[in-house]
Amino acid sequence: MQRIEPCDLPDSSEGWPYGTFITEIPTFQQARELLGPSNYEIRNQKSKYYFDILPSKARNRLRLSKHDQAEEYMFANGAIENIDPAGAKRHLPLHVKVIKYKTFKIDRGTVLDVTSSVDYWPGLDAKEELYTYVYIEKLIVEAEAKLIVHGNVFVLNCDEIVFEGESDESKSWDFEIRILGTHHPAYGRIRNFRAINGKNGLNGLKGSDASEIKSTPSIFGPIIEECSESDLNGENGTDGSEGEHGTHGQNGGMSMLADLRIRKLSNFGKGRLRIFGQASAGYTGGNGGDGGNGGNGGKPVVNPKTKEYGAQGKGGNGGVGGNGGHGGNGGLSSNIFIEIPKGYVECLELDSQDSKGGKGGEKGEGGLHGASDFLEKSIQERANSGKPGRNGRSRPGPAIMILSNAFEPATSV
Amino acid sequence: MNYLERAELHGQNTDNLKSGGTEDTIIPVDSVEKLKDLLSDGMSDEQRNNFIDSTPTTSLKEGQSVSLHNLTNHIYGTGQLSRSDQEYLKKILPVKANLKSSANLYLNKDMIIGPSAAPTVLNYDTITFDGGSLLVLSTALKLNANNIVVKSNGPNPYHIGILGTQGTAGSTGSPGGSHPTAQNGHNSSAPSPGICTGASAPGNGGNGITGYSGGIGYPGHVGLASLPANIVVNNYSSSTGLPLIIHTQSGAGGDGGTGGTGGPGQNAGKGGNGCDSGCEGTDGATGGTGGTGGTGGVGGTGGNGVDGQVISITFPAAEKANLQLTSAPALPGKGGSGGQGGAAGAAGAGGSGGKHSSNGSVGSPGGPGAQGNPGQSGTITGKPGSFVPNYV
Repeated sequence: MQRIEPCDLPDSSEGWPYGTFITEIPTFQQARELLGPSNYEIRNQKSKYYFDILPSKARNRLRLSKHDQAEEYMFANGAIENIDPAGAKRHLPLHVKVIKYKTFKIDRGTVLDVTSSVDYWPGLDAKEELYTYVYIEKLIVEAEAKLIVHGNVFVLNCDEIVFEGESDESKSWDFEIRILGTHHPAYGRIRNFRAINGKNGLNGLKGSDASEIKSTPSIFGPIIEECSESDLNGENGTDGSEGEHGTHGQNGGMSMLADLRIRKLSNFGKGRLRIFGQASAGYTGGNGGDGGNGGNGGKPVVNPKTKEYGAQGKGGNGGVGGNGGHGGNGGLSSNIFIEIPKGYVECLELDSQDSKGGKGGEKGEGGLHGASDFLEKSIQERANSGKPGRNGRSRPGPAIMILSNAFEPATSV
Repeated sequence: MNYLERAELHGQNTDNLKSGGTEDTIIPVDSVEKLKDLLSDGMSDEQRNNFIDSTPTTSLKEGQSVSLHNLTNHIYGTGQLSRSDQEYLKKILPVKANLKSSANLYLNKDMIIGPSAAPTVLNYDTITFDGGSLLVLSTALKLNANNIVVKSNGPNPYHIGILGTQGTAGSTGSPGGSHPTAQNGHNSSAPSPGICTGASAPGNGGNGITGYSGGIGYPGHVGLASLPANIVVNNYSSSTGLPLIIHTQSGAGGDGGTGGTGGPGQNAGKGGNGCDSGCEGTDGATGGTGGTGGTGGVGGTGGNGVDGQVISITFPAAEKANLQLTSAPALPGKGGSGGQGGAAGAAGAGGSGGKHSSNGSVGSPGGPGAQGNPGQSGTITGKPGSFVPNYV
């Protein structure tokens, strides 16, 4: 991929060259000029609504409010003084993918995924926050076309989006912009690592079988040695060990701020441009390990004199199954802003979906109690199972806010 | 008494025997006198006294072995039974004996009786050795043969073997158990959201400890003795000039069992994860060193050889030169091999590093356990039973 050196960055967003590039923006001030809107009234409106719907408690806990303040500065009209300089330093420079074309067409049923990737910057942390700036002067779309971004801070700037061709009336929309969560799980203070299934418990050892009662050769033939009652009995099996608990699933990837700037829509009917937002689902919790089986009891032997068997050893207890790990919570969502002239608002269909919680891990089965059925068949029962993990919580979908006119109040959806 | 008279005495079908058939009968024995009749009839007083004089006493202890010794001397000698011997008899009687009769026994392969069979009486007119041997293992024997013919020797260096049985080898010692994985190092966590500065260092993974030693191999069992035999041969014929060779060897000790395999060394713990706040991170900690495998168990002690019992032989004096008596000691069992050392414990994985930080190093695996020491051999060599020949 082509690259723009930071020293060659343009002064304003109008100055981006055509093509697809990657670059790094060294300061928030430059990013404000290169990525944010040029209209100050729009910036003010965004700031007014910026923190209205964001789930501040959860975001504060993850220190995302600091990120939000930096983003408010860049994409709205936040104060630079609110940005923690030491914390901000850790995220600079910003890693940006730029896509700029005069015209671009997304054919019928085609998906244009504009998501940036850390692979463009070797050595970059896999979870670094990435930015994607798309400016297409004339975006032509056909029925069922989609433009998708996964977990990037995203700007879509279109002078015009033109729908061409026949609508598919079986669909409620002709073109869809999907603002989705990252492919990777979110950071969490506790659930930092992929869920691991608990290991199965170790099986208990089988009790030793009683040894055959020996005989000694003699002039009378074999003479059975004296034996005590315990010599006839099998040994008890040992207990199986408990299954390990599964670890908790990670939280789903966050959907980031999206700033959609659309100046004109052509040939779109009512509600035919769909804006969809949803963060990634939480990850499944690890399954609990199964408990180990108890060892079977050792077999008894028959008393050669009485012809009666000794007692079979008791089976060891099966190990208790491990608990399933809890499912991760759904990803958090940031805002989606849509700048669009008032006359086109009715062409939009807005769909904000809560992110889904991950499925709780399955419980580990209890181990089988060891058998002791040499003399009398019996049903082998199991030890208690573990508890299944709880499903993760879903999290509210992104707030989608339409700024239909720079001089009119925005509508919150 | 010839073989037909003896067979008839015990109810066997003599017509069948005369026509070349064989008779195989189980005889109930409800008194010591009946057993005496079966096993030692025809022994002279001198033979009986010699038998008593030659009976080994080295392994005598209180209880059963003393009573069996006294009963043996009563049956083959002139010994009297004590009250306790009588009481002991009540516990073991009745028993059964085997009586095998036929006109001819032709041995071109080995005939084996025992080990540890019921007392056996072999009653033949003629026994022909032609490449086979008669092997009697830890079983009391009475052999009546009017004629013995040796046509050829077989793979065994004897024709009649009065043998013991080697003690069974000891079982392998139990394997050493396993340890659960060592403690993982503690993870570092962000002291406040988004900040790793001031976070405590993650802990290194715990080192594995040495695996459990394997269990000692079980001792080899004591050999089973060769039991008394009373062999009566009226005539010997060797057209080939080959002598009749009677050999005895009591039971050797069983070898000691192999020591149990050492338990695996404990797997080391994983290094703790570095702080990972989403904004910054610290390095992961080093994984622990795996434990050394457990030492293999010591081999089991070899079992002891056991002394053989007396063999009384009645043989024609004219053919004395054609009777060879050979013997060998019953060796003690060898000590078992030491068990294999346990497998090395696995190295602990390095902890994961946080953002912009390195993962911890993988620890080192442990070493394998040492092989166990071999067990000691048995200490007692069993003497062969004494021959008490009587040339008539």
